[in-house]
Amino acid sequence: MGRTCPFCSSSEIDEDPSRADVVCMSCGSVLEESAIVSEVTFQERAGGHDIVGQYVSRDRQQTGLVGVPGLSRTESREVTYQKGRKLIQEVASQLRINQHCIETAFNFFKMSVSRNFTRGRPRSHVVAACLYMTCRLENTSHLLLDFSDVTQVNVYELGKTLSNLTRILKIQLPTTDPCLYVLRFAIMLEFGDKQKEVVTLATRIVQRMKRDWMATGRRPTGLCGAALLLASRAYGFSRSISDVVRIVHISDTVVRKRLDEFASTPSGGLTIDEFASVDLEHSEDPPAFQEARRRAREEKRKKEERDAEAATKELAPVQKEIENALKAKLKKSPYGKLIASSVGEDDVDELSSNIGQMVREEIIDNVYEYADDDFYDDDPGPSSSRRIDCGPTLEFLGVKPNSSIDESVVSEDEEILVDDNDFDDLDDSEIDSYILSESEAKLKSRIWMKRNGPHLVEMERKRKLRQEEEEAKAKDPNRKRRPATRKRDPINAANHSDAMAQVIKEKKLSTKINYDVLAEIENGTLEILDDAPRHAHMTMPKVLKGEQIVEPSSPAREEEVPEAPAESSSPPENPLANLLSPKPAFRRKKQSAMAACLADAAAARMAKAKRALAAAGPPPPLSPTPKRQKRDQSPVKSPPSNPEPRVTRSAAKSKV
Amino acid sequence: MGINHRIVNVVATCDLGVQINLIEYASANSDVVKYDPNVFRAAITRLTTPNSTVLVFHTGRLVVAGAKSIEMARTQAERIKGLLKICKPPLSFRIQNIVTSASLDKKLDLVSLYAQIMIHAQEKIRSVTYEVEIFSGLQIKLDHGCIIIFSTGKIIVTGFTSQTLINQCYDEIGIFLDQQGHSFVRA
Repeated sequence: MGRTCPFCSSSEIDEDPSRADVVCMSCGSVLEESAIVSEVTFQERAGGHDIVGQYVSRDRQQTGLVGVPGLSRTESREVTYQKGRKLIQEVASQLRINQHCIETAFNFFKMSVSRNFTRGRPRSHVVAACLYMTCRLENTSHLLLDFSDVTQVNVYELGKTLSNLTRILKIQLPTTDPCLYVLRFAIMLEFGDKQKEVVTLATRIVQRMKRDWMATGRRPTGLCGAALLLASRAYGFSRSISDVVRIVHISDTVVRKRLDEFASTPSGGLTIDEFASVDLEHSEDPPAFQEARRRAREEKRKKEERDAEAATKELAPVQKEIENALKAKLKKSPYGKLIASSVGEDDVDELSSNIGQMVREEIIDNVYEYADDDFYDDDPGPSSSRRIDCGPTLEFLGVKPNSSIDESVVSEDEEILVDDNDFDDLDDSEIDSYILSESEAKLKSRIWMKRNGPHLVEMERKRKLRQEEEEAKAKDPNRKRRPATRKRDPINAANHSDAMAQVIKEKKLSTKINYDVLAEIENGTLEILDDAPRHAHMTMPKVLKGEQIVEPSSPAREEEVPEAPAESSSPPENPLANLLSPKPAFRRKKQSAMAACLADAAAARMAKAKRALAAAGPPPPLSPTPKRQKRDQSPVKSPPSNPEPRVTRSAAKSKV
Repeated sequence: MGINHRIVNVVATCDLGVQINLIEYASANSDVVKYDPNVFRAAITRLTTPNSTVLVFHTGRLVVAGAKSIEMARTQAERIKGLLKICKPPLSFRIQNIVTSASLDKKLDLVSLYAQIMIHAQEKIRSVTYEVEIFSGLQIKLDHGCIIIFSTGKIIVTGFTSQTLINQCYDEIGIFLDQQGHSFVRA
């Protein structure tokens, strides 16, 4: 309260509700006494503590005047206000609007009631419009779409109501800034720790979009969505367009379009770091504006093209005249003689000057026609095929077709000759003079072969060579075969042991395996004892107890030792049968392997003891000899003992 | 500074004053007339060269739509009169709506335009609406018509019923742009 003491003009005023006094702190003067307070006080009564006084509602009037007739109990306006407030509470609670906004919205509602705005309009429309107006004035991140979701009203209808309300209440709403929505959508997209950075970057992008005229007239949510997508990708979050669409309530075509538009701006070409630091000065035109300008330019260009075409058509006859004149000039010039000299006048004497001249002219005409084909391509079929076969064929030169020449080519050329040339300007005698007689034909063919013979031979040779090469390649035995697509031959075996053997042979499972010993197993040269593991266990305590005990059992043990590892690792039945069910046998293998190792150790110690006794000399030093002995024995021992577990293990692995 | 506008659509009504048998009319001109009373109680006549659509009601009233000028609307009504073989002149002919569009070829910042209009609150302007979530254009409602302005510089003036009013409207837009345009016009 901004009260000041009238005596000392100090603003330090103390209110004490318990004494109901208002006192100035500096001069001590009492400003009020026995003030009416809205505190709750209690009274002690028989039943307990009771409240003194009644609760007075701020809004509702007293309904205490009961007895007066003619006065309705509840006023219609009150009822309207009550219902409106209730609805506002409902809608606001669904959208998480705070209490202060609710109060403001209710005030707007009361204003609209007094201006008869609620008449003839659904209450939900009015309520939603009031709430949205409040949100806009408070710059919260609520969309009209949210209100539409909650109240199930068409968003455009809400918009209409809103514009009417603003007009009636004469309130100017601030325009929506897309930056307001960025944080809200970012929270929903769950960025975790980096949320702040993502939001900052997205806000910058939105500001850039605004400056580049992408924002006017566009829904703010679309820009937000696109900016958040870019920002999230920049910080490594993989948010797809569908995620954004789901949260931002905008279709994915729109998001894509915004992304494309931003990409076409100069800012869109910057990297993330550049964008964060540099702020480009020049602002772009709005995309629709650019489109319109582009279309206008296109139209203009097309028009110019059409004009150009018309102009060229006009020039065509003039161009032809000029070319004819040039052609005539060229025939007489030394250059023309150079072109035509390939006829081979020097080779053949029979060619008189007249015929030579005619041939030369023909050649030059031909050359011109080939050159012109590029410009006047009005008959693309024959000219293109003619272009394939560029050299003058024998047919064209007037020579009768040879059997060696491809028939199809000949027919094509015949067609060309028939279709293209119209012989109206020539008469028969001229044509007859062109067609060569038998002897002339022979002459011509001689000339041509002389010119092009070696070349043809060369081509033939090369073709043959290539063919031979391909054949040789196909037959090459050292041809590298692709290992991946090799077909496995089906294994036919009598029983599983043979099958395994075949597989092992085929695959060559491991180089560390002694396959001979494996073969021995198969053939069953080694005896199989049922209680092999137990046997190994039994030997253990005997070994540990001492060398004395070792000795008496040594000979027996010695025999058994080389076998025991082998046997211990081979189960009662066929060893390879175990491979098909590795697990229980595997454990046994492990045990037996352990047993085998211990047996090894035992054997080594035993052997050493034996030697010591045999030598009856000074006991050899402990450390080197056992090792040496062990090493000596290991090549003997290891083939039977070591590979066994290894074979089974690796085989088991491979099979499994 | 004059703004060149072109008329895009003219809607007019005409009263021929004669009862018309629509079934007869439709069958006589079945190539241009479509009449399905279950769908709509008027015969839809689509005239070509120039293109327009005319709705013919059995009371003898017509609605001409799609004409590109006021004169064209009148001639189309005359054509229908000819098709119906009516001799007497129509009782009334009224233009209901003229839609025109113009292009400024400049970018407009609608936010500042909105602010400017609110500042210079004229009496003629009934309301100004710029609601981005609803529509991308700024809408100004006048007494007899409506102006829609887009950020690309395109302007649509619609709702007026005479050419003079339209010209007046465009003049005023031009004046407003000259005076206040510096704040919201970006070339």
